[in-house]
Amino acid sequence: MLKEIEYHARLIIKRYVNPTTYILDFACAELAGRFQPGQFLEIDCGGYICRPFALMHQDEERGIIRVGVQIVGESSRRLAGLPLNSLVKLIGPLGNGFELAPYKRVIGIGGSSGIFPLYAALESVAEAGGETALICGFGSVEQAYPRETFEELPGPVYYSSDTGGLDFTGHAGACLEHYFGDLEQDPDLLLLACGPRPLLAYVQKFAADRQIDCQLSLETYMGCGLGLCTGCAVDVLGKDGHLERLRCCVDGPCFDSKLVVF
Amino acid sequence: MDLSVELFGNLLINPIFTASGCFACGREAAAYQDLKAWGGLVSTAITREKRLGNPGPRVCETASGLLNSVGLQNPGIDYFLMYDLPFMLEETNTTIVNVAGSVTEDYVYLCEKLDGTDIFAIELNLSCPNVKHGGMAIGTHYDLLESTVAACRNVSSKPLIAKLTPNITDITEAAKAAEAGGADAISLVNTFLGMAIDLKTRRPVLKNNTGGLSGPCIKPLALRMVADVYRSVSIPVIGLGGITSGKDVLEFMLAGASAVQVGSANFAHPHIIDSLRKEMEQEMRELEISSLDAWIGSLNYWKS
Repeated sequence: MLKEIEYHARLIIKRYVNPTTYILDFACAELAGRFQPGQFLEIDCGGYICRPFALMHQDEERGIIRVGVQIVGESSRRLAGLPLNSLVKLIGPLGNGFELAPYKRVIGIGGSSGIFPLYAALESVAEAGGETALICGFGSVEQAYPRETFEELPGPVYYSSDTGGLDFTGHAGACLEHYFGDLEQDPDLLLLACGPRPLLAYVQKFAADRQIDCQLSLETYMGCGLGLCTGCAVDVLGKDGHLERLRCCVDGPCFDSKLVVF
Repeated sequence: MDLSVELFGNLLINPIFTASGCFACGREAAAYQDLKAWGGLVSTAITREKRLGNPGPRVCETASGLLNSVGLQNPGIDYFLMYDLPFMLEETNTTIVNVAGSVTEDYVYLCEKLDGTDIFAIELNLSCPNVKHGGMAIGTHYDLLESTVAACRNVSSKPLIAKLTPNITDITEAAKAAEAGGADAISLVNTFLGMAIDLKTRRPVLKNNTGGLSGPCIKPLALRMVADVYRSVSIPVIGLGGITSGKDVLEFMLAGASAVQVGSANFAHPHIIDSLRKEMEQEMRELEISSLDAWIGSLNYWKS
């Protein structure tokens, strides 16, 4: 039985969240409900190859999937600039999501667009009755997303920025230390992080020092998202402890933080 | 519509192969497509020992193209023979194994290892631009290219395809050297050496600094080279470089390609083999092409 992975979806809602970031809702009943939090999709942005975006939210009932798009290059600029009702090709669901069972308390630590897959995970944890907290790192006050972006999450949401003016002045890792520095090993507790590599390395060490389970969603340049090109290699420790260069797209993008080599 | 072509005395259901390095060994794509829709599959480059490839970033999107510096990541020949080759032989119509090495002896070793298997052909990767030794370093020296092909010819009973680099002054000289060495076919082109730059970091985007460029942006360059090589050698030519449509396939065949390979177009189009076949059939009907054999190399040049 062949897996269906290619769809066409209509852009139905576009929300501006900061000068370079938009949240896009696509109508795609065939895909909505099929994602695990942490999985991603490839979107045809009008270039030669598609570009990967993490799922932020899916609504199976209404047939909607939501992604956050940070403009970093030509493809993301074209995608963010699409007029409503545009028909777009999507490929997904792709990759391995977070492993959220059996955790009852999950804290997400994200930098800029890295927050989006964490939102999907925390939403799922909350639906299952778990406790959530989200730490969002932004470059500045101007880049902070509107608070209502995360208002449906039941737990606390902390905004941090190096340049001040938000809940915490400092990077997202320091914000984690500030609010949750006294965390101890707890089989019910899981940390999730996605964002710039220095932040991931910081969270990795924070979790290791306290022996708390932690998963990282890695971001890297991707060619296909399908496991064909081996372009998106990330350095990870294999079963025997040797360095392996795994494909972020099909072997990840979510990895146990203990295995990731920075 | 009959898309079959003959290669090495065998009938292929269609002339379309995957290109090495763009389809792994087929396992991933088998989840969402029928591999037997292809004329055949070409494995990713296989080396003597396992290789991790280059550190990332190692892919980058460019205008109408893709730059990569993967660097021949693969599990090595022993693992390939045990786990990947049986899968390929079972699930595909024809299996071509692409082999790469640092020195001639590596290619010979790999050809010997593959000789007792049921593969359709061996493709000698004499053209990888992303490794320090072997690959392109062999393919740009005609004497070494010829002697490497000849050494493989000595130990192998399989059809040998020499895959050439376009990063060379005159690709017809390389093709002639491969033919003189005993190659049964030439495949071209591998990627063009290129660079992408990030203004913010003032660094090349790829950690390897340079990479190989593929995609529609190289198609006219590849077509010219296929046409020139076709007129320079008497062995079959397999064309590749930026093929994304059925029209592209027919253009390469008109320029002289007996078969074609499709690489990075697989990345954005999981079902490209189906659309290529449909488009070829439609185009052949419109152009009233009844036989691909007669079409191959029938390009009518302008007289100067």
